Amino acid sequence: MDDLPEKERERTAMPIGAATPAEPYELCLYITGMTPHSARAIENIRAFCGKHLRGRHTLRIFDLYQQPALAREEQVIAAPTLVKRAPLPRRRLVGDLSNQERVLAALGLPF
Amino acid sequence: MQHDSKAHLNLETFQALEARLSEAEETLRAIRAGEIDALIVQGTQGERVYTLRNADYPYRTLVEQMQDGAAILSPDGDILYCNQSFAGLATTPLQEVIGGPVARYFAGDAGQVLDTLLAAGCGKRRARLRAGDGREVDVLLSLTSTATNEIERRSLIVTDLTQLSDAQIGLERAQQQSHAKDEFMAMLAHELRNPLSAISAALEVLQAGGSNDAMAGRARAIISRQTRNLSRLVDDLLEVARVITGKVALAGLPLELGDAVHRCVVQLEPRTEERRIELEIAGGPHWIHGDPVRIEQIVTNILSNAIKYSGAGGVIRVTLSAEDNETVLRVIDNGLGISPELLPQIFEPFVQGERTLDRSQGGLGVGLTLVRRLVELHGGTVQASSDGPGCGSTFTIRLPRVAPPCAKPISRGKQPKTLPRRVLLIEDNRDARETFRMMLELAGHEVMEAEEGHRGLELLKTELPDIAVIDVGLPGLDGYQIASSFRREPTGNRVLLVALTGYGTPDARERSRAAGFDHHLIKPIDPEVLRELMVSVPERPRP
Repeated sequence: MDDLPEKERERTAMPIGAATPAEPYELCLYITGMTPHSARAIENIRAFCGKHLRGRHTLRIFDLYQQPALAREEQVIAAPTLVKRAPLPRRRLVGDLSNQERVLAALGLPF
Repeated sequence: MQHDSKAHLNLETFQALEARLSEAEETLRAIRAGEIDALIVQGTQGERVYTLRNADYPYRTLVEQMQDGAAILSPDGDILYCNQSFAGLATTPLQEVIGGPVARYFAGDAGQVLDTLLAAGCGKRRARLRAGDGREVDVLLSLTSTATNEIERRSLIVTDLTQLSDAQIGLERAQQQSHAKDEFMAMLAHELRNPLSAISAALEVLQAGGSNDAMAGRARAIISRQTRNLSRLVDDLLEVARVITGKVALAGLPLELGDAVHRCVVQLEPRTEERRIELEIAGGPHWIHGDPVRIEQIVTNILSNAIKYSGAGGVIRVTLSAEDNETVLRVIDNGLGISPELLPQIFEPFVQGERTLDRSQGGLGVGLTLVRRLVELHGGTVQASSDGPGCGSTFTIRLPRVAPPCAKPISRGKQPKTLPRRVLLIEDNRDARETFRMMLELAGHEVMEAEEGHRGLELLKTELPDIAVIDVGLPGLDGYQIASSFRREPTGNRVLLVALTGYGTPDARERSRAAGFDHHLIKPIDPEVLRELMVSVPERPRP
């Protein structure tokens, strides 16, 4: 019954017949409306996913202005915050995600 | 103790701890570097989001710069905040709006609408906003209730509907005009059918043998009369199109308006006599600057209208007077009058008053439109007034007054007399030349002819006639070349030049004018137009 508390969901199909389908990345971005860093974080993560995670990720964006209670689940203390839920271990990255190296490191991706 | 536990850490746990530490450091770094917009704090009431300063800037600009008025109200309806657009709609300075009651801008019915909306706490309603300068604006009110930190607020959005209302009015007007055009088409069909059926009936009579000369004569008279009616209808239509689009060139000469009125009255005599309408003219000579043909068109239209809507035995008074810098012509009838609903639109195209029952006075409903445009082209104004149906109407035309020319004014005769003129006719078509020549000679004029351009120009230069009628499509020199080379002669202004063509388009007229022609006639020539032209030739000094 509960609608998914998401502002946006992005799923891209796995390529059929991929040899060893790696576990898809499950990313959640917590933002506060259209504040400047939030807006930039959305742009940056979408560009990043398009470049590094094409076909193997889901991205959900949560607006804490509209649903502040969601912050508790992921212990989010600042916005914007990106949370990698899968693959484990969970990792968080605070900020506008403009530094690609930090994002790569947080997601455990090779440089 | 510490040493012991540390000894028990395996590599995996150590790496996890290291990761969490670096994450915490990274978070602190991001906060310190100002890469965040908000902090989320857990309180007794659940999570609160504290937006950092400047991070709410996009929201502020969104609200401040939006075109709709926005205001935050207390539950009592006091304005706690409003944007620039709200103050703009209220035409009141921002600092005077904030703190005051919103009800100040909604009076009467609108006040009740606002009260209902505030009581409901949310909703959308249309209302009239009364601005500080007293103007009223049609607006849409959209109200929502919010509670922040348990403080109740109302958010009000005010949308200006003026443009929407204007668009609606425009749409209605367009629909009315479209309707008027539909009616016009129906009427046009009717008007065309009448003469056509008369003509075809007359042709039947002729084809049936016309055994009786008198009968054939009558049939021919009918055909001739109805053909003229048809031509006049078509001319009216073309004329209106040209005049409305402003594509007429006016000749400008000093004119005695009384003379023009008199000529029109004479032309309309058959109609006034038929209906036993009395026509009185009063007022001395009044000079204006204008195009004789157009001025007569104006007067004839106004007079025909008065006759059309006057009953048998009616009286039409025409007065001429000078008021300030204007020459004022009034046409006052005691006929059908104009209803107050019709009065404001009477000069619009295709609008007509009640018809006479027999439709004997038909017409296209474009006469007054033509009048208004022509009067405006002369720098004047025209007004209609009426005390209502059955009370008659008054049409008032005001034209700029000019001083009488030095030459003595032409004395006003009952029928303008056509002096014999010397006419040069340059036309290559033999039949056209001969009929034209006959028409002119019957009217007592002296006619010279040329059937080709070079000969025509030579005659024009040597003979210097009063008037030269020149077909524009000629072998050798064409009509435009003749006109422009003759105008360059020292005596080039001595002759009235009339172009004769098959084309009445604004372009064709402009081309004639540019070549130096005074008038532009379209084939076939109307003998009446020709007669008027001969009358209008100014007296020129003989060489």
